[in-house]
Amino acid sequence: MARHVLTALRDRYRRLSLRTKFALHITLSTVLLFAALIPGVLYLESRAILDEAKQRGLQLTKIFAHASVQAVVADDFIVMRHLVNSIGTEPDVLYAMILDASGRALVHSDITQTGLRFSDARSLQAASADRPLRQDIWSHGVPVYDFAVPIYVLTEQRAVARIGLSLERELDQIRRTRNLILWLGLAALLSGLAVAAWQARSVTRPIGQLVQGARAIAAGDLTHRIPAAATDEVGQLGETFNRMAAALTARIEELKAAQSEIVRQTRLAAIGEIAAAVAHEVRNPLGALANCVQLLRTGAHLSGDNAELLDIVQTESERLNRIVSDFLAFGRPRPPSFQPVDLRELIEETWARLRHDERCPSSIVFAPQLGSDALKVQADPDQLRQVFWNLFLNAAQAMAGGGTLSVEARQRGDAVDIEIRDSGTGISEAALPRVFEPFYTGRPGGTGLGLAIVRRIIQDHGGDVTVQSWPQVGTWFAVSLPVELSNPPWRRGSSSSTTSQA
Amino acid sequence: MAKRILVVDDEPGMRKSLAIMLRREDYQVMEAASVPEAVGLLEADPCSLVIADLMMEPLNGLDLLALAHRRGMSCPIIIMTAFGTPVARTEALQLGAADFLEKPLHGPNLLRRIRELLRPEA
Repeated sequence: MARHVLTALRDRYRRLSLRTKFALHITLSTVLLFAALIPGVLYLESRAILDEAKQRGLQLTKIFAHASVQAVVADDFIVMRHLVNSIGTEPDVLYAMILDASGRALVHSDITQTGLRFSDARSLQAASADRPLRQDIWSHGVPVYDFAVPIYVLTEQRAVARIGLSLERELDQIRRTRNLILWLGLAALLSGLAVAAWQARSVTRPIGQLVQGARAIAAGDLTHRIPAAATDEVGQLGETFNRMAAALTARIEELKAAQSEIVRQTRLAAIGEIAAAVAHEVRNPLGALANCVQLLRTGAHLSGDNAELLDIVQTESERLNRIVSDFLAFGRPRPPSFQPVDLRELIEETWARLRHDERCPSSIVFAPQLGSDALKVQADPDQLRQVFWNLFLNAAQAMAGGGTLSVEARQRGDAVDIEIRDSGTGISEAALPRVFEPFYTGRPGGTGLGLAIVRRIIQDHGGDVTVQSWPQVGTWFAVSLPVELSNPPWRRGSSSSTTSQA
Repeated sequence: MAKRILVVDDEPGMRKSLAIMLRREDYQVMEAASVPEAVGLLEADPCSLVIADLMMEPLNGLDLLALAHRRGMSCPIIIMTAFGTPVARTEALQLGAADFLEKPLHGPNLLRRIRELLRPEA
């Protein structure tokens, strides 16, 4: 049964709020403290008061006895009566008397008691006291200290001076003191409680705010912040909480960005795979077409419209082939096989090929600034050839009415910078951010993969390519390639490595 | 009198092969590689029918429809395209296209459609 109650109480306690617990603890400890202290204080206080009364009574009785010696020796009742009267007027003195050896009152503060023999036990004790004696008695319902001091004449005890000191005043004082202490104690307790409650609130309120803040963040509201408070530990906790929330927000934005990048890359990779698969399928029919066209050209003797039609077939199937190649190049990129490559030679070579391509307007001027030293980089020559070819061709096709294709290449530290500038139609501000996107084309008849391939190849070589353009003025492409690549991007981030990183 | 057809397409292969096909059907064919060129030809010599590609730069087939309408040209304009989305079709027809055909064109279909459009109104 008792255990039941205890368990119930314990559960009740556990469910209390922090503030209530605080207040409860402080109240309990204060009460216990008072309960331990107050009785002690009261006891000490009352003992002091009573001891003082004892001292005073004894002193008075001694003085009484001493002053009475002469009168007792001389049987001078007048003096004795005078003395006893004046003792009787002392505060708290209930009675005063001088007793002879038989217990008869020679003089008494109450004149009607003079000459009476007191035969009660206490009086007999007092009368026969041979040294100062105190007795605690009750007289007429009042607690009294009864003091008896013998009066010696030489060595003979002739009488006893006896005083009864009423303790009423003392007891009253004790009672008053006790009440005062109790009231003070209560006041202290109540104010302590108030302080405790206030203090508890000042601690639990910020904690409550923190709880609220944590709940808000758990519910998804990352903008929630704890209002600034004191600089103590609780305030620091709030500030730290805010920093945590801000950091969380930043991380989540980062993760979102990273995730959308991953999604984009995955999508592109998937598209690339499909494109490559389709391209492979298409290659066979294309091959057949190309064969037939070739045979028809050399075999059959065609003229006029038919010849023109056959030319169109050939041109379009070559175009199809290029599209297929672009798709393959984009969908299944080959890691570069690095060799020393002289960029100057490559650039000159690309221009030579472009010049003779029918898509290159004849009025284009080539302005190379390649320096006199060889510009050697570690690269895949075929892939770089494709890069320069795509860039040069783009430039040429933008300058249908003629213009200047300028190429500047120079070494900068451990990288080579190449700038390809044309004075063509330029790219609009809206289209510029998208030029490197796969399948984004500004030109009809294009696959939109040329620049995407360029960027991928350059990135695989550890370099970077950027573009600037001004409509109707021209376009600049800036390519930078490291001279030597120690950490190729397509080998970075490989999680299947079995050796642990240092 | 032979009917005159204007073929507008920036892709030479498409344009030329279409022109040859139409000439074999005894149509007189004019070729334009861009919308401005087409408009110029139409203003000089009105045609009975126009076949125009949708995707051209800087003005496309829809721009041609709008221009023709604005200049009060009444010849039917067929729009052809490799990118046949329902949105483009709706827009072309709203702008007054006589028809909206998807490439690769089916020769006999196209010829039949042209004959229908060129039949004198009853």
